[in-house]
Amino acid sequence: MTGPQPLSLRDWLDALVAATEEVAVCALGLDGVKVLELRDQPPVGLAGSYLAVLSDQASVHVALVARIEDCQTLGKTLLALGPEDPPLAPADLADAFGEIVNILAGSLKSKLADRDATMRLGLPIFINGHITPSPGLSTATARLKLGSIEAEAMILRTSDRRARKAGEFLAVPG
Amino acid sequence: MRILIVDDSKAMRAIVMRTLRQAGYGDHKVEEAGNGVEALKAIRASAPDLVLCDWNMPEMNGLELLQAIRAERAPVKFGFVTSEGSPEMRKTAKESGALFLIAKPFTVDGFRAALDPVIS
Repeated sequence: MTGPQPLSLRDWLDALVAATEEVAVCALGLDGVKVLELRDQPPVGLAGSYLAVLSDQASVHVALVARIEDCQTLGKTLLALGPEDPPLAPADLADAFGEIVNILAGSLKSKLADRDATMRLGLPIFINGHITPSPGLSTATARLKLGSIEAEAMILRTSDRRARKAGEFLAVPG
Repeated sequence: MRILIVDDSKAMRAIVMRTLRQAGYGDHKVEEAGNGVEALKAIRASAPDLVLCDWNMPEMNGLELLQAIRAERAPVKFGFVTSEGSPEMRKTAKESGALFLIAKPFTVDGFRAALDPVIS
């Protein structure tokens, strides 16, 4: 008898897209999510929140990134604020957008629990920049439409043992 | 009733407060704490009737807070409001003395279902 197959990058991305759909509808009150494009390269020049998911099988970061003004819109939507309300201060934007990704990661963990029950979630960080691909880092990105907003859901998986131990990757200013 | 909301996200504390109002609990006095350490200080200073607590937080997480409260035998009702709701976490929460676990994203009805038996 064999156990569950290890999760592929596509498994992670599919679960993240499904989690984004759930959060878009239940937490943001949007109609849903439309997948516009799948890519294996991280986007450039977008801002968003990243959260580490570590398990016995994998070291992954999940992220949701968008143009900074669209991050504002999504953050304000989470807080039930409208376009007439002033922009969120940077710390409040990071906090609100981080919470969106925190809920995404919790949903993703639930969706993949039968494949990997050892997942542990980190805490979100907000980065206004982009990821530099490095040896051992695999990425999968889904360009999405959330309501009227384009955003990108991203999986970054580190296979290098040292990097896995550190759970780190390099971000550079956008 | 005095309710203490514990979450490291200011945004989520605001959302929990808004949901409490929408669920019909707007008359209760609500206080906030940003992590388990702050919450433990607040509970020692003036015990609230109910704690609504995130699980995954810096400094002291929600489970550690619950264990500290129970170790001190503080008579406070405790429930989790967290992004993770796996069966294992629900089991751990219950065994540690939590009355409920509300998983994010949550609904007003979900809040009522969890809180009505506790608050009434």
